[in-house]
Amino acid sequence: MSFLIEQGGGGGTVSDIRVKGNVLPCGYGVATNSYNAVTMAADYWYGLLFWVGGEMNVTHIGLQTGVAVAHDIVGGIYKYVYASDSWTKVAQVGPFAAVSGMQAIALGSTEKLEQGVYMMAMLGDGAQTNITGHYTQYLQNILPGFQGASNNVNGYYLYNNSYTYTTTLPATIAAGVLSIFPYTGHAAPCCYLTLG
Amino acid sequence: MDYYKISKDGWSVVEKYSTEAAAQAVADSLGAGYTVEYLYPYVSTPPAERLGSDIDFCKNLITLFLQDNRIANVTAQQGESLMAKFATTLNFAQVGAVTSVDYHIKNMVTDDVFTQERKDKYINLIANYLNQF
Repeated sequence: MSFLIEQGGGGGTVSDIRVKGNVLPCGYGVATNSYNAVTMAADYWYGLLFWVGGEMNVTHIGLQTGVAVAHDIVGGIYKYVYASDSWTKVAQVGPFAAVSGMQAIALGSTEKLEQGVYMMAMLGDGAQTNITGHYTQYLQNILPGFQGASNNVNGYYLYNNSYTYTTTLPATIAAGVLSIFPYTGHAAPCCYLTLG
Repeated sequence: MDYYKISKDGWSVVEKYSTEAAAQAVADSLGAGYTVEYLYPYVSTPPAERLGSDIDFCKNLITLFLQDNRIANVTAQQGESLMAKFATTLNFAQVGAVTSVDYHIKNMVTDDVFTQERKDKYINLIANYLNQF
């Protein structure tokens, strides 16, 4: 039995690994954590990385909190551009509403993420508690085998701890603007995605 | 508690509320045109899943505590004092007893190494964690 699905017309075979539904991207390994007890700081750019091996069709970007959102928070997807060593914005939503729970904001149209490296960016104007996210050591990294942390697991996220909040995230952001945060025991917030 | 979905246009939120009226009140507070839909009952976290989560949280709390010691350049002598001071708390942390860790940290006297700032930080982290259940 083969798990490969023949794609019409192309002549080749590719694995169909697409899924539908709500997913929390950027996690890695069996111990991936997604408890909603992460606090995000004000004017702090959080950039959590994730891979797309085949394709991913994103219909919504969401935020899950255990308490009512008390600040303006926006979330966006960026794709890494090798030629310019920068990140280009694919889509963004927000600010999210002042309620608790799992809220989702529809994109203007479904975004088809092709194969590549992506960043789930989050930015807020205040210190917001109880957001879903990951422990640093359980995050994906840019390349397999790229050891970023300890405890025999990978993981780090990109950040800028003095990035002034803006409702509209920049169209591009140079790689050099962001630093690597690799320390275990810390957690970073993450938006979830609805795939269609 | 049951889960309800409040939505309007391309926006929606799924959250647990005690009654449909409570969900409707939140919907009304958002403005006109928000609809409420019942989804499914709330099921508390199974004990086995909760234990795994608690142990994971405590493990990361210990790591964070140790990192803070290194950042503060704690000497070997200070480290021994800390170990004596936190022995009971550490025992509870190693078995995922979050509420006991919370109790002991709240009652811990601050000093030059275990500062009020650090104490507040850990209490806040634990409160955020417990708040989700």
